[in-house]
Amino acid sequence: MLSKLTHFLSFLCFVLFCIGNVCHAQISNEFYRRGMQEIQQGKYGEAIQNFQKAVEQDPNFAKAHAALGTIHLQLGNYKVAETSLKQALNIEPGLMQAETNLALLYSRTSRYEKATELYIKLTREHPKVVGIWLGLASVYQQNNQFQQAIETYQQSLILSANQPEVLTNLASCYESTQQLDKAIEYYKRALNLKPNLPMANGNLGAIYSQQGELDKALPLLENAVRYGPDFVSARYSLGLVLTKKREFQRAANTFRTVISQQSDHIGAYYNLAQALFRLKQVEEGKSAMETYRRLNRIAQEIDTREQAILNEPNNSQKHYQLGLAYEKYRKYNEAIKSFQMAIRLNPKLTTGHYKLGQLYFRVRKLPDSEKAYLAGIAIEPEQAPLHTGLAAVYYMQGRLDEAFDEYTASLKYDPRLVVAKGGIAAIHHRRGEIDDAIRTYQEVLTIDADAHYALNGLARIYLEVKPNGKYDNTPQDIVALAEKAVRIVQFPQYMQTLALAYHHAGQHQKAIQTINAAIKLEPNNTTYHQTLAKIRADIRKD
Amino acid sequence: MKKQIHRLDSRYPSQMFMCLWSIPFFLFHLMVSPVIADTHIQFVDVTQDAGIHWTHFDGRSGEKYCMEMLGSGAAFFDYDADGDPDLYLVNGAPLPRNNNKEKPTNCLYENNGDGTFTDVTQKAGVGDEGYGHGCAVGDYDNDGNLDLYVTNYGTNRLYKNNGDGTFRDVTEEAGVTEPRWSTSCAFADYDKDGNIDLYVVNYLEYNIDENPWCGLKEKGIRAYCEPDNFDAQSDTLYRNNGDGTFTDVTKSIGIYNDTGKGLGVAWGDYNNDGNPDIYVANDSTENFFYTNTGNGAFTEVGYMIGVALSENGVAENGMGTAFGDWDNDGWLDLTVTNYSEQTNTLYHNDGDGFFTDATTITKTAPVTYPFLGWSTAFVDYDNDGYGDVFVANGHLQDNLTDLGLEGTYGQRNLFFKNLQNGTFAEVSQSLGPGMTLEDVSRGTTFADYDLDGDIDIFVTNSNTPPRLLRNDGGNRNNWIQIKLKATKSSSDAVGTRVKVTTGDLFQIREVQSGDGYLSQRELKLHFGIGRHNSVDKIEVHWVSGSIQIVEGVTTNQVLSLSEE
Repeated sequence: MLSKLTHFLSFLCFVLFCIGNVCHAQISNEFYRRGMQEIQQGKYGEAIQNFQKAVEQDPNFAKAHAALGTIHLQLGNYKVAETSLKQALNIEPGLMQAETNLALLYSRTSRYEKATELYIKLTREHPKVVGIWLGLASVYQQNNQFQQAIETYQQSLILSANQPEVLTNLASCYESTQQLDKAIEYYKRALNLKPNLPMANGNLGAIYSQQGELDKALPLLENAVRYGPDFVSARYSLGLVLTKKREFQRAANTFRTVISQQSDHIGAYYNLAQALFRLKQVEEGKSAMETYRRLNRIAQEIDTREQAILNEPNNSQKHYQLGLAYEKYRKYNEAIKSFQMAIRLNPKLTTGHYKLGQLYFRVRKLPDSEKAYLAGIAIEPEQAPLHTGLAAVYYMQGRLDEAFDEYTASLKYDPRLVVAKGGIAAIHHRRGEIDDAIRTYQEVLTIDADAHYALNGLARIYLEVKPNGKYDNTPQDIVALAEKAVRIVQFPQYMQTLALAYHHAGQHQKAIQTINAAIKLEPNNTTYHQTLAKIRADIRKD
Repeated sequence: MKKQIHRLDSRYPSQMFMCLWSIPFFLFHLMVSPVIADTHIQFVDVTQDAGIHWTHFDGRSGEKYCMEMLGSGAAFFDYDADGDPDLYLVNGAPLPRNNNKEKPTNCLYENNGDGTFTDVTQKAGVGDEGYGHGCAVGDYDNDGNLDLYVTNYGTNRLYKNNGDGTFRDVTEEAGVTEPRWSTSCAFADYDKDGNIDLYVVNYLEYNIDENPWCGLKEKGIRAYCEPDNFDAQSDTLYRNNGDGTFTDVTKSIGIYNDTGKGLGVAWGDYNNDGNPDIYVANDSTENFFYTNTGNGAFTEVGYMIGVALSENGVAENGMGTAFGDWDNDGWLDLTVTNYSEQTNTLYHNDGDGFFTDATTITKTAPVTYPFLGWSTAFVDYDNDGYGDVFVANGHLQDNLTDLGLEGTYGQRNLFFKNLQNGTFAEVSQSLGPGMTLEDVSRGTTFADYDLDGDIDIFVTNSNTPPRLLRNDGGNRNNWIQIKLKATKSSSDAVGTRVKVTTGDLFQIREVQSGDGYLSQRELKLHFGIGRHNSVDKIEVHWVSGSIQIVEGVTTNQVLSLSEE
């Protein structure tokens, strides 16, 4: 009897399990379907949520994992994408959508060998799928394997001829292998199919330009920028052709547009100056010439540092020096890469960790910044600047106690580090410990009368506290503090303080001018716009 | 510069097509131009037959001293005034740790007038033993004899021609020692006072005792250092005082500039105002163009007039340079040679004070890209009345493969035939065995050494024997050579402009002292006349300002003209 009952219960459980699973499957399929619909509408955020719900309901739903991976790939979240795609393939090995997108991910993340290997496998399994051949070809092309790219593009054309973009890429590969006649032939074929292709127009125009065939080059380059207004290099090439055809006014306008699109385009500044000299607009020409010279100095310094690395690729100091050069010219991402390389070659390079921490902080990657400072502190725990940097990270994250400890540590190792004292003052301010904040800022100013952060901090506090007999600064005193801070450094946040100080002192016009100057420096900072709106509203009220 | 790839983003979910925008602006292509040269013209290497057995010596020891890279120049000049061009060759010297026992010297070969030369160095007294690079010729003391200036790493030399087959070293007394590292040099009468002045190009602030180690350090492969490793030196302009001495006026007349790493120089009146201007080819820094204001001073305008940088605004590695009117429009154009993977530049003088970079539209860009160019000149090798362009090539690193670099140490030289339509075609391969040699060439000098009516070429090669390339067949077209003797200005007539009109063919030439690279071409002017049997008009614009006109001149002769 018991055994029968047990059997029955087991059976019942099985049935319930099946019913439950069917329900889960139906629900997850519904989330998946919704996700796919949202993708079609470009609602990627909502789509991600639905795919996530789908895999929560059914963790073995391979297609949903693949879809998640694919969408993250499109959004550039490569780590998450890779995890999801691999998860899909664990569940369903050989799932085409997951494999093709994983190959694409390898390609996007410059892992060309892995991408090639996977694409080759896919071409064997799905030899009729054009997209796979194209993926493989583009990997070859990106990896400068032009001959293989040519053969693979040709293969894809066998499957599906008359694809103008493919013909264009193929032409580009021929161009890279110096087969100019072939390149011209394929660019022309692409343009016959689709005359508005910017790339085919631009590249073919550039070939003709280099061959001195200006009349052939001109209309193509004009088309390239008409159909691809952001195709900066085609526009630049157009400027060169116009210069050679002595159409200096058009050339100057063209180079101006190039500069508006790429503000550090050295060649455009050089050629703009040349065109302006021809047009007898000497002063403007000289101004362009000066900008050219400034940008050129930057390029030369970086070039010299890069050259040094070519000769000594494993010298961490050379990478560190290159990082400094990049940082000097505000190429922060490149600088980060150089410092990373310097640290990879010499993990004990504390200065490398420090610079990395600073740069991550600057680009607001605070967790990375924290890691970098902590790595430096692990090597040299008594380096005060590392603690100061780390404290700033904590402060920005609102981890005030940890920030306080780090500033205190920096002062322990270097009592002259007034910036750490300034940090402590800021923490007091943020905690509402106004007396301590004012006292600490004043201590800072006793040591360094030009400590702009202390001047600005004090001005901020005095603007916030109401006159209560204890703090009896006049509005003019506050303006004086804020003005001095801005005189020393034109940080937009200091300008905001000054604007508020002017406003507080009834100098509304100056207040508006100053906050507008801050907005000019940081147009996307909403708080400055809000300050401007508040000042205007107050004026209206008055 | 690397080709850039731009990517158009792919679309979700399975469309993986990626479109690559490639931008080939800095990619130049190795195209073989159609051979359209007159194949009857051949350049034949006759060095040994002509009795020239001299070899350049760069003093190398493995220490990769920088001066070893530069090689040396040569000059064709008629030192004994017998009517045929003689040949002066500049040599290097042993450097530390070099075990050479013999002391190589500069060398003077006298032209025997029968196609051969005789070494007269010792008798003439011009066998300088310094580490030599360049030379230029002019009659600095106005005694009717051509004198010689030689540049060295170290003190330069001025040899006064005594007029009896000998020279005297007058460097110290003339005040032109210039102890820095000098390369090219050239004479011209910039202030038109009747005495030729001297421009000396200086290269780097380089101390042989502090020779840095350059190259692939981790692999232990040493290379010659690039100029970026050293500071530049200002060039020097010496004003001729007219009493056998010179004064350094570099700073007072606007020439001083310590940012240029100079290698080549040429004088030429680019704006037809009668005053000679100066162009300096600098290695890895902006090239200089000093315009002569006419009141004894110069203004540097290279950037403004478009001849300082490449068309993309990049300072290239300028080596040699020359003025010449390649399109026969009456305005001197300009050419500069550059490093490999840069193109040599051909500038067109627009006649409005500006130059246009005509490298691509003249179709000379792609061919020069793989070559490392040194000396260059406008030379009408086929006497068709249009200046062709000769370029001497050769790499400076002798271990390119070890360094992982492309190219070859020895390279063939190039000859661009002027197609008379604003474009050129590279025709060296069809110009005989002398033009297919792959040497490590540096300097060049040009003259009709065998007096047969066409221009021959002498090429110096680094650490190897030079080449005398005889032009056979260039004289199938007609020609005229004009030998000038000034009486109201320097007797050598340096700076004099000659205009030759023949039917609708109009040409100008200036008597130039020192151009190309480290070298000096014969002062006698050579004009190809094509099929014309006579020259309608020869107009001589002497430095003194006087103009002399001769009409109805028979071709195929050397015409001697003395200033009236």
